[in-house]
Amino acid sequence: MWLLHGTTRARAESIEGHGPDVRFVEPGSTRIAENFSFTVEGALSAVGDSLAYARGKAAAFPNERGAAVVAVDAPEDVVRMAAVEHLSLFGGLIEYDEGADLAELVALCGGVIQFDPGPALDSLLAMWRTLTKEIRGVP
Amino acid sequence: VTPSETVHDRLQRAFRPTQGGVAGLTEQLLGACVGGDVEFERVGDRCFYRWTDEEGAQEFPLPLSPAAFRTILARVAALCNERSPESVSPYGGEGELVVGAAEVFVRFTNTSQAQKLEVKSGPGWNAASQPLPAKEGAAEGQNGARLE
Repeated sequence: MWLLHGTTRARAESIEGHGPDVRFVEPGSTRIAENFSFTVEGALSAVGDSLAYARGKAAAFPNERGAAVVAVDAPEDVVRMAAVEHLSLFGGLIEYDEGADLAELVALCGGVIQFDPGPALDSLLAMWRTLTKEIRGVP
Repeated sequence: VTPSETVHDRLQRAFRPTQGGVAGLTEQLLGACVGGDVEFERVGDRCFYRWTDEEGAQEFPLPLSPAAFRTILARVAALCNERSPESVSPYGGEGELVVGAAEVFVRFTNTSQAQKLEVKSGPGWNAASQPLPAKEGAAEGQNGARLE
């Protein structure tokens, strides 16, 4: 399942090489990112698409060589783990079945797969070097 | 909206499990704000919502984690752009949304530095008096907030 993360080209290259960094601190900020989000390619997104996020980053950080999208082909079991972990952060306000079809879980998440510190992120980072990845330009 | 209900009553009702996922929960929260002015904000590792009524300023903890609150804010941004394409950045902006039969004004910031949502539809709010934000201003976020 291809996951997409919109960012700047400079960050995309770092992410491609080292994986998502939830402790990343942006220039001018004093707080770490805390989590890392992707949209799911081909799925409807209730939170906007990765291109919009990439353009926003590029506009805010003009020295980071423009907008780009990191695309990674992640295993479905890791995506499922991340979706369930994220839904659990809503304090029971979103009903879900951990065994549901993955597309259903993704839809409940609004089409965004967010990795917070935890088992899903650990799994993703452990296999990051072996995953198929690419950096895509943003028109 | 039932006139006798307070914002607090409606929000308490909104904090009930939904099968509608992130989109459904966001709709519930916005719907609960109709008729009032409510602020949602992350403070430290917790989130709160507040409003002012005849008894003064009221504040209660929001039963959501900061990570979940950020997803709600992302959904608000998407709703603004569905209503008025490219009117806001994912990281901040303002706009008007239709919630049920009502119109509400929202202003939000969603960066690593700050996460906040203001929803206005109380008696002092007039949809016609709220100008739509300039695209350039929205792209830079509100109050000079740095984009992520």
